[in-house]
Amino acid sequence: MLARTFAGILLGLPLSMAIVSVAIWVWPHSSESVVIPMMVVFFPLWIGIMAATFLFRSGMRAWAWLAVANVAAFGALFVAKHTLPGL
Amino acid sequence: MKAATIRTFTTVHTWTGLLAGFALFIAFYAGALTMFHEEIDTWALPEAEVARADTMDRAHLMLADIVAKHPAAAEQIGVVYPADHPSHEVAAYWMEKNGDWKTQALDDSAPHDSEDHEHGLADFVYELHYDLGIPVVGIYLMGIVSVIYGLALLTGLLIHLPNLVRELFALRPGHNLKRLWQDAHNVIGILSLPFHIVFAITGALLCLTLVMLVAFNTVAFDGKLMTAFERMTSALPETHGKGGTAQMLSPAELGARARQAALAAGASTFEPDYMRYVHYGQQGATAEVRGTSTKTLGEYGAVALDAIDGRVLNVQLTGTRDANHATYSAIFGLHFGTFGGLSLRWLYFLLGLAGAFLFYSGNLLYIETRRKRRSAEQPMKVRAMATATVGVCIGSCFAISMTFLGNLFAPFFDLEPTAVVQPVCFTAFAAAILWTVWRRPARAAVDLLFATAVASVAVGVLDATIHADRLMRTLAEGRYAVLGLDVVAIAMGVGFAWLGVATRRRAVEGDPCSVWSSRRAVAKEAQRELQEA
Repeated sequence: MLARTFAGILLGLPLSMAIVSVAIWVWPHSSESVVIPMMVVFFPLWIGIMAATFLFRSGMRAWAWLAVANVAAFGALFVAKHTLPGL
Repeated sequence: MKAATIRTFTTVHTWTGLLAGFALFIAFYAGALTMFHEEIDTWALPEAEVARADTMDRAHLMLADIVAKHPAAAEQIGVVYPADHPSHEVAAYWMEKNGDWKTQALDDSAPHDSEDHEHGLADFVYELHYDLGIPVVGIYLMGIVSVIYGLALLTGLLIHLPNLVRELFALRPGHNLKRLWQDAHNVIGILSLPFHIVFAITGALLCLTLVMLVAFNTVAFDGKLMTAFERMTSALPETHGKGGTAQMLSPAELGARARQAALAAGASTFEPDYMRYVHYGQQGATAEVRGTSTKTLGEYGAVALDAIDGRVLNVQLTGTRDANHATYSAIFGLHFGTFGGLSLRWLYFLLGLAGAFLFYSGNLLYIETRRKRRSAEQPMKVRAMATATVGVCIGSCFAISMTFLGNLFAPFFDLEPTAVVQPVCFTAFAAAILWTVWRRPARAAVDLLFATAVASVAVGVLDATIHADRLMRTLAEGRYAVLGLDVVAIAMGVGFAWLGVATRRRAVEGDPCSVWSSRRAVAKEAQRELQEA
């Protein structure tokens, strides 16, 4: 239980940040035009990830899957930063 | 959903409720009162001066004087419009070279740090709402509490989901008290869910915007977010001071022009409440006037003008603004309940009190679930929870009522009301906690409820007696803020007295094997009989 809780808090935070950031970066035409609406999504997304983390069968799996998701999301952010205009 | 999943979410719901419930109770109770911030403000300062007609002309002169003495202020200097808030002194705000924010009000002879001002009663209650009265870190703490609150809401909804429709309107009074509390907790939680979702999200955003911006700025936007955020929330286009000197239009004149532009752009109304100059006194100076409009979700809008010739540069108002400005304004509108009239404020007030009840009943459910049904002595965690619930929750209601009384009595002790509200509140709160520990929760709950009832009724009755002339004058002028506050204080006092009577009945007649029973002898006897049988 505790392992999953901390997975949700500690890995859920960067994951939701990366997802929101990627969504802003890939927004067509103007990234800047959606920054604040996207940021409103950040807290609900983090909360959703924290709750969903409890559905994993074990703390080990939660950490592993969230780590993979983080790598994927930050990978996408890295690519977006090097190919798109941004703010 | 599997039973194991529901069990997990129940544990999460319990723990998040435990962590955030107390802070949320205070935030909701103080927040409900803050819906009538202006009325409390009017009530708290009976001798406040009526705004003078030449106030804004004096402000104009003060700004020029400040910039002459503090050149750093020319970069950016703001001033509030008086509107009709009694405690809303007209003051200027600017940043010194070292990054400190300074402020100077019309009646001040010298500037002071913008942080160390004394708070009036209304501002103090508002402060309790967003930082529990804890300086500096309180607001971040409340931001974290908001996130935990969001998690508690989501898990609570998921646990209740299988029975939601069937039990939506179930309120089963009867032998099983736990079920009654559970039903009340569920029905209030579900019916006010949209309101709670709004508060969890906007509360977290309002408290943690700065932290969030810094984090996103570093992680995702390579330092470009801060300047972009300025563009996304203000109406001012990027401007550059061109040096030289220039005569500035006055705040009053710029406010009038901004209103004209706002109405022309389709806003129903536009009441300027704050404005700032950029590059004050130089060629290329600009100004932004912020104001409120009715009939929109986000009441705040802004008009940017040329500070020299008054040309309108940009309008960010209801109907004409982009997604960033609209969302930013809506966050405030939704949280502060400013998108409607008086009836909406009453609705927010009632939903706020219902929210406080939600957290209180959550704690009661914790206690009721862990109660030893055949024992006079209850487990440590149950006793601790009962003590904390009574001390913090009822104690904060008591402390706030005492603060209103303190504000009322301060002038009789030659004290400024602004100087007494904070010490009175914290002392009363500490006394309530100590009283609860000493008297045990069952008796302390009754005592504190009656004390709160007496204090609240006294707030209304004594104000109407001491300041009867003020009450009559405002009524003659058709203003009902003072009467309204007196009546609501008395009504809430009656409400607390009713809760006190019910709590007393529980302590005397209720199940003796409970932390809420004051009949310890009876409980011991009952326990002995049970053991013998």
